[in-house]
Amino acid sequence: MAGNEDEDLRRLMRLPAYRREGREGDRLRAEVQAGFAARYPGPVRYDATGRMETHVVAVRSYPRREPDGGVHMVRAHDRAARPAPRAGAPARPAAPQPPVVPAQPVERAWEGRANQAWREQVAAEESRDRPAFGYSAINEGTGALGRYQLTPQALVAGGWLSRTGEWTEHARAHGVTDRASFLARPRAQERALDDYLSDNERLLRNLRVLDRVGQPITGMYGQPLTLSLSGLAAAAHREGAPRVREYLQHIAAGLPPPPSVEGRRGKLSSFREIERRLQAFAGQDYRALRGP
Amino acid sequence: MTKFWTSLAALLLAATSGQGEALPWRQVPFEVGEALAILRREKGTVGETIGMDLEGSSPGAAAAEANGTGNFDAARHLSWVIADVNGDGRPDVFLVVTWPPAYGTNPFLRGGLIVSTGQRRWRFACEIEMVRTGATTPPVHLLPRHGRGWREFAIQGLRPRPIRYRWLQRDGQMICDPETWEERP
Repeated sequence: MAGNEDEDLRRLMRLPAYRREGREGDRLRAEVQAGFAARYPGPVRYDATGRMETHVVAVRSYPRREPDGGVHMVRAHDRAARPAPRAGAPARPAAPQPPVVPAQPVERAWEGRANQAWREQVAAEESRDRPAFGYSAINEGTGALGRYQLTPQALVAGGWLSRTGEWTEHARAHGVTDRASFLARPRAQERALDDYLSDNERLLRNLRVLDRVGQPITGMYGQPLTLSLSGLAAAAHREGAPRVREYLQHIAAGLPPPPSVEGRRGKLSSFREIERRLQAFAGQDYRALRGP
Repeated sequence: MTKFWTSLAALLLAATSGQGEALPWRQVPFEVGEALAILRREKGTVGETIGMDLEGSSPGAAAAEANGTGNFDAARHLSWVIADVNGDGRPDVFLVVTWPPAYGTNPFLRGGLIVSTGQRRWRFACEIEMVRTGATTPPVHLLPRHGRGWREFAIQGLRPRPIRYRWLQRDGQMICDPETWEERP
């Protein structure tokens, strides 16, 4: 039935997280985009000006008058249209298959490592419900790899990628020479996470953020929060240690939430994500990976 | 053997006559340095972040420098494009900070467009943001269309199509602004 052909993707679009800012929303939107792109391949392309080419259904924004009389543009989505049917044309492609699923049983490499429960919580946020415990997950939109969705910048910070994008000697020592070998090696991913976390701890310590572990703070919207090592590590993992310090300075100065900015992620969404992680990871055990 | 002597003679002649391959030194253009100073002063932008001291009591840690997680270094952690966006004949500078600690596991890179307002005078025009999926920083596409005489531009964001920045007049100054909902005819 035609109406149900994309039901799996539409189900994702109906999830509340799909419309929210943040990692999960980004992941869902990327997945839906990839799904539609695979099923309706086009020739749909976006040129440098952002204009879509042919075979496109553009559901444009429309004006809605608000109770105060102001006009608010409601943004809709746009997507590629189904190509016109041709005689003898092959059936439309199936949904994109998850990439690089190892044939062998996948090792539960996080078990027995430091901060196991913390790792599980991060993985649940980054690569939930992906095959192979998320180890084979790729976000083609962002370049994030594996169970913990480490971006190229994070891999650079951890010493696994050079600034020019080559895998380092350190990576090769763990059997990683390219993206595929990284995705196929759960232990290497756990080690890469250790390296990245360890570097983040160094930065948090040097920025004197860790001095504040145990202190209560009041969040941007008046909610009480307690700074825990676990929460700070999770926040820095996502937003970077300098941003966490910026957030704490912002709170300490008693400033109002930063303004929302259109079209960019901006400081407000970054601060919101920091607060969310401080709260979500507050009760989690976390042992520092590097000494003082 | 004759060929060897011919080559040697050519080499000696080139050396004595000052020819040969000249290898020029490279340095950050002065426009970029001046634009960076403006970005650093702009509150709420990545320009504030790059001033942080991450090295604390252990400056210059070799591993941190190699990984790019020492302090910000303009020679290593900055990408730029110099272009004339308003047709006044003076260079304007797009800056993007590629310093890993500023981003965590976010794929976004941030920076700004700094426009020249006169001889050695600059102004912050807007913050820009882009998604980097690999080692290469995405390019800036200057668009042929002019908005109030200023060239709009597009940069790759997280969505499939690039984010277009248009020009608006605010408080008597032109500022660039990412376009989010408006579809062009």
